[in-house]
Amino acid sequence: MYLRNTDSQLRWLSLSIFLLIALLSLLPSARLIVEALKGVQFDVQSPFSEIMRSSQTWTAFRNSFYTSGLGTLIAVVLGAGFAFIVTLTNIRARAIWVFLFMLPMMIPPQVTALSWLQLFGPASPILNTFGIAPALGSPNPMYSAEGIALLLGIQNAPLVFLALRTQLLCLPQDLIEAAKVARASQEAIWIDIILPLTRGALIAGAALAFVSSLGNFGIPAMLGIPVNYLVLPTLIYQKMAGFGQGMLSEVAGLSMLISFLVLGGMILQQWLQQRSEYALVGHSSSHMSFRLGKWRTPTEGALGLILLMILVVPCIALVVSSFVPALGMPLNSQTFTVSAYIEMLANQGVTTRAFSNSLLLAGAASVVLMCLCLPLSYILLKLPLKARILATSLIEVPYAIPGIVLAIAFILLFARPLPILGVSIYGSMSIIFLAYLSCFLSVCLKPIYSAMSQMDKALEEAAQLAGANAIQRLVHIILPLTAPAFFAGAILVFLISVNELTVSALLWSAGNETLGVLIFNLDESGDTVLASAISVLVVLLVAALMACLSLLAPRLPKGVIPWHDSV
Amino acid sequence: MARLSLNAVSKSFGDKTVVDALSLTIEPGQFVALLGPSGCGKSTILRMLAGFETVSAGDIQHGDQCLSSTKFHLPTEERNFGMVFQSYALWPHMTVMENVGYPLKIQKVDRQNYQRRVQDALDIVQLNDFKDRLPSQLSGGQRQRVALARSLVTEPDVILFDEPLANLDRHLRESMEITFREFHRRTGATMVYVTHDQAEAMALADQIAVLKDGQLMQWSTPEDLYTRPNNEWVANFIGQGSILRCQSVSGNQLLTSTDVIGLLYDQTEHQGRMLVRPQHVDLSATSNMLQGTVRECIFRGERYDIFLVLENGDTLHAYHTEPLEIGETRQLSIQQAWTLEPSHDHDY
Repeated sequence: MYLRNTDSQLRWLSLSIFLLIALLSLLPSARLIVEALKGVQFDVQSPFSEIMRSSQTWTAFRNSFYTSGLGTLIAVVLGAGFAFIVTLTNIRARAIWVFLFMLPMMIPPQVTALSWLQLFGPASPILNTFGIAPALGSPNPMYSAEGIALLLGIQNAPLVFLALRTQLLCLPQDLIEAAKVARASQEAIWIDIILPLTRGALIAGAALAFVSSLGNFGIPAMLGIPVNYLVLPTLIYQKMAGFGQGMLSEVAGLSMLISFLVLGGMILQQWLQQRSEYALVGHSSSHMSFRLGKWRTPTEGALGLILLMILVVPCIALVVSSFVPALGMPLNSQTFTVSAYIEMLANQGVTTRAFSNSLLLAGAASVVLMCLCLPLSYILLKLPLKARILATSLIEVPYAIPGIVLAIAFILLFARPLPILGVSIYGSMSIIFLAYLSCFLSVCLKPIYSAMSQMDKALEEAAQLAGANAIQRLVHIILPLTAPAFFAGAILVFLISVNELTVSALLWSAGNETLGVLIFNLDESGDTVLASAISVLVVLLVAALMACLSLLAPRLPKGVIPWHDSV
Repeated sequence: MARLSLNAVSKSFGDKTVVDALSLTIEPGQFVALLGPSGCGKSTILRMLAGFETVSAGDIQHGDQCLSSTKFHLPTEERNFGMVFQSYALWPHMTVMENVGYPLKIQKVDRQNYQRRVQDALDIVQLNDFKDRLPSQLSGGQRQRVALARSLVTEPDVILFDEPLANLDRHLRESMEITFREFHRRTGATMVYVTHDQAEAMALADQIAVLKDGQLMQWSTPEDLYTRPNNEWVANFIGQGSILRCQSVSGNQLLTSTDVIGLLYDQTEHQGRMLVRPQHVDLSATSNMLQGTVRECIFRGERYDIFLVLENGDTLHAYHTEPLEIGETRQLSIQQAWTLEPSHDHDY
């Protein structure tokens, strides 16, 4: 019915788009559920029931909960503190604080883990440089549950920060003024006005951080596996590496377990958020703001110190590690060497291969997704509201479920050769590519969809009256007007996929290494200096891409680029 | 040029009927206004004419051609209609010239013709000096004129207007009204104009369709609408005036001063309704037949608005050249009135 007033071009287009969503979004999850259910026989011998009775599973379950819970706590303290200070006070250079605080989210977890590992422990180049390294043989404190939690907290603090900041920006200044007129004290304003109004956002941010911590693979893999401290994603990874009997059903079962946890977290978040949400009436041009007065400089100093500790020092450790000949040596004029970089670029075939693989995968994924999202958002916006909500949530699914689960789903899907073609893509780069398409579709879609939905509908209708058909309207009117959002979507996909580890950790094969896998493997095999050198380049790449996006920001709808806002 | 006719057209969204069995015949070259409060379905009718919405029942014909019925729907892009939007809908990435010329570009008009026709269209709206500007470099009124030029560049039979003046300030509105009238005279195109502003509709249209809850209340000239409203709702909606209760009387007749006294005086029942425009109330009369107590007196510049309470409790709106004191009792006469069929909902 909804398509009756459109032409056949559009009908054909929308049909193929829906087929595509079904293939990319629904099929992997469906396959996973089938595999897991196949295992549920009321038979004590089945792999599924075995995994459920195994003490290893429940230890990993507990570990996951502990690290994610503690990590969420750290994320909330850091993220909320920064959000309140950066948003509600007259602090200087706000944009720079926001950018720097968002950076840990965009740096790939394996790089974060590597840089913190270089910071502590007896082999730490930076500690050795100052001659304060602990004695050889003493353990690196990062190899522990608390180390994992700390990094999960730092990595996910920006999620809490963003959720809270968005809400704080909506709070009008006159709420504070009204409270002041009512002679409320500073503390009363915080307790009675600001906290109740931001509780929903705080809960939402915390839930996001928790869910994201549960699914994180890079950090527990780098910090937990060496000391045999396993969480659910790393347990799956080890099972996959083990290739035992009934392995696929076992990992499918474990994947379902994580998925349920994640789903539960999300439902809980929705429920809590709805309960504590208040509709804000009226609008004011200026949002809430407090004057810090003589406390401004000390506050800025404190923020700087925290950022220095969580961002700058680990990065320096990483850089220092990349310039020493071997781990455990101090950095000075005699030991300084760029041999790691030379080796990386010249000698190591695998390094250049990983670079080109990752660039190719990320480039192809971002271009393909960008081209897909033009007709996709266009057609989504033409759908009736209910169908649109359904379709967008389906697209969300592969991004929301942990990467390790998605990877398992893809292995299950493509382990056997493709039905009609008879070709197997398992063990090739194509399977990683397809998984990226599935995983990052929603990343690319969001900015494009929001730009298109904010466009005045009359602009397209005017073109329709001018006689333009659907394709002409897309090319002449909609594409030029939403172009910045297209680039933003593509760069975001590139940024995330070029460093991606979780999906490729399970799907890679010899010759098809990605950058994420390379860093992980080099670190595992003890080649930390080389891993550090690659990580340094990765961090530079991330910062450069983020800066590119910031340049596009003025021409994008609000909220598309998380670390940029005009306030 | 062809006649545009809507035959028992209905439109529902879900179980909500927005337009209910509407029939209208619009003659070629007519300037028609669709007038009504928000939510009356006037924009939906326009969108059905443009082809953005399908019809749920009935059909729309343009001359011999069927535009829309339950079985057939001619897509917008094949209708050759012009339209001016409330938001102007100018493409921000195109210059004034490109905006106006876009319909020609789609029709693959050759270069020479393209230039000439865009020039002509811009001449009509007096914007030729601005043809290389972007819409963001124009004022509100200029943008509206670009939209106007774009709507006429293909010389369409029908031009649709969706509240085109709603975003302009009052002063600019008046000058745009003059532009629209000239534009209509020059092009001779059929125009359908949606508005909620009765003064705008009265000033522009040859024929007005008054709508309420998706139903046609009245279809007549502006003069008739004002002097001869069909029912109580229209009488309330159009112009100023008071509706007085009186003895039963059949609707739609003009009453003289004596008739009015007869119907108001000595009421045994009050099932009848009459509309009295304020300019027909004479407060300097000395007849003893009617009187009212002044309840409110408001200064309006050229006159005073006086609200009086009559003996039966009804309120009467009158004009007067001098202020009156609140509470004062005035003798008055009503020079003429219009009887109404009472509508079922007494929401005045």
